Amino acid sequence: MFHAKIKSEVLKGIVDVVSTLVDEAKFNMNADGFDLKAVDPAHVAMIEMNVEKGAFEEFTADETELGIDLDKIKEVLRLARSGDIIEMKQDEEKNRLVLNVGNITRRMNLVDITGMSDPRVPNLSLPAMVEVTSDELQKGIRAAESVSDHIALTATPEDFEMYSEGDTDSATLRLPKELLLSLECEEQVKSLFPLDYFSNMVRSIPAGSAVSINLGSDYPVKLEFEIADKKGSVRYLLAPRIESD
Amino acid sequence: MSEDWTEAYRPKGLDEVLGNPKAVRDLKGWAEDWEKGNPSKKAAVLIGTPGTGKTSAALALAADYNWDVVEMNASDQRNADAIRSIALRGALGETFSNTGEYLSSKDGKLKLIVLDEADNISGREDRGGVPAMAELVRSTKQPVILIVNDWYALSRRSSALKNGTLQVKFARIKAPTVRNVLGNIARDRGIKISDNALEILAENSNGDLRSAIRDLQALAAGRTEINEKDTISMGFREVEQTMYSVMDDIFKRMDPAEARFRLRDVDESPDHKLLWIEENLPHAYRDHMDLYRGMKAISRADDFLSRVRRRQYYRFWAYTSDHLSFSVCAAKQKEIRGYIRYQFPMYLMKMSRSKASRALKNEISAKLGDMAHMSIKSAKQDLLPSFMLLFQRQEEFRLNMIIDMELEQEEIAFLLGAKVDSAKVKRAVADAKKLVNEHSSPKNNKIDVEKKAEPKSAPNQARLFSF
Repeated sequence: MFHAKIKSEVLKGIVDVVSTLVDEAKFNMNADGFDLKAVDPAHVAMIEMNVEKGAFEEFTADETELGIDLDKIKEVLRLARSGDIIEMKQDEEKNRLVLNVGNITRRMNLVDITGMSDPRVPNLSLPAMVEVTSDELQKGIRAAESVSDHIALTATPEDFEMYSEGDTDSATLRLPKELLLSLECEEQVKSLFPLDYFSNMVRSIPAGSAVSINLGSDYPVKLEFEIADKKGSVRYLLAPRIESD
Repeated sequence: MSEDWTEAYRPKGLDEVLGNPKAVRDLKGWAEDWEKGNPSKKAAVLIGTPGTGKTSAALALAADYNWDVVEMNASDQRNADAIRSIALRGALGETFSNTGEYLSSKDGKLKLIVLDEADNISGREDRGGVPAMAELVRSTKQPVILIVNDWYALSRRSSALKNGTLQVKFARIKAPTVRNVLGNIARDRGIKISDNALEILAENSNGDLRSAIRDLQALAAGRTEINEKDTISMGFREVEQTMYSVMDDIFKRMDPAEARFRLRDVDESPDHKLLWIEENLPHAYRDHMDLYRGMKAISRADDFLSRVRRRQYYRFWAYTSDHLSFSVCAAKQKEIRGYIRYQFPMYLMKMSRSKASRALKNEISAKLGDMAHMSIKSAKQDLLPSFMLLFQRQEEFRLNMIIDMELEQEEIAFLLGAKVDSAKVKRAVADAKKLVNEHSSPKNNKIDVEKKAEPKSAPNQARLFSF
């Protein structure tokens, strides 16, 4: 059983974060909220998300798994204005999800979850931790986007750097320790990532929020941030590019 | 019955992939090279008709080497974008597996990218799919397998695909192997099946193990025993579909009545049936008297075909078909043994390949016929050969004709016998354009007026023959 009411902008925030990686996802509902884990179809990225019931206006749920097509939720969101309350309800008999926005009722079939995996979040030892505002990250990505299709993230004990190199041009965003919210780094670490994915991830982070970046050398990056007015948390993992030898 | 037996009995490892030992060996070698980190070809193409174990081999390979798998199959939406955002993205990066493990190629943990039915991507709606695949093959850092039925259709569109891949061919699976597999599955499911029934299923599968297993599963629904009688309903469905499956009945066996019966059920037009029989008769009948009598039967069949055309009396089709099956079958003196490699009719193949150039030829002939007051047919037969010669040799004639007939670039290429984007054709187009521009001042207007003033009959005819 699942029945909830949620502000449209909060739902949009949640959907944007998940749909960066997957089109369909399995939401594990329980009495206190929901969590979600998914690996993207190219098997290079992962998401883990927890949202407490406090993010909703109203929330009641038993332990249940809902397979949801995120594109369909986006369609409903297009019908809503900011501030609208969206009511979501599971129709167990017909295996559907029913959404109400104002006077509109949208019923959608739930997605079959038998094929969906339940990934565990791997234990990665990531020696460096950088905390920065999402706006700074956005800037670095905008600078890199026209230059190349990949981006190098480097952390040293003094600074954090986003570097992108194309055939002829390169772009760097260097953030010294003073401009970071915090920096924990014993020795230099550096990894290379696909820019399109990284930038999609960064774009889905709510503006003005703090992001913690965990980094290693030729190792995945972990982005951690909060959504839904600190009532939800997200961890993105992105695998590095394999560098040419 | 929700379970799909073709999935349940998919081989778990390469050793269980049956019927194509050479292909399996090649694949193993390729995977070993990847494991060592220095593959000479980064991608492999598995080529073969449906149900010969290509997908199974790819998945078994990944299982044997503990590789993660990213699979794109026909049910996914596949176009250039999807290939780039899933296959290529996966091919360039390290891996998070479905179970949430981080797999680094540095530790030798690879990810296999499988593009199933890759030749279907090149269809109309998937424009740009072939270049995207070529890019994938060129730049991948992870092993890539493309699975295709028709390699020719794909490889002729991209030499990068052709040269950048290891090609592994999967042959149809031999009937005894199919029989064994079916027997094992039946035993596993506690189903009694008669040897004859197994034999029929295996023969009907035509080397397609997947469809054979499907047939078995369908037959087994609600039964614990299967015998020959039960398979009858299955057998025909298969036979109705293809000309290949009636070839043995006509050429090898000595039962003309059965051959007649089987050919009648093939859904092909009589003239296509004739082409099939004609193409394969010389491969089958080695005895020259057999061949003589067989050809004679075909010629009788052809007589009736032309009678149908001339008199528009379609009942004669029955005689065409009977001569092709009954008479050809009865033309031999004894059963033919051994494997015969049946061919698709060469005539149909050539006609379909030349479709575009024939259409072009017709268009040109139509324009020519318009100017010379001739039918398309006689323009094509009588005028076109000498017209082409003049067109190729006389530059002035060529340019005038390009302008007067408003010839398109493709048509010019055809007349010159050159490629559409060759320098020769481009120059001709450019020269003609220049000529038009030179005349496009008042002078040209006058010419236009003159032209319009001419009586409608015989426009430009004089010019055509003035050379």
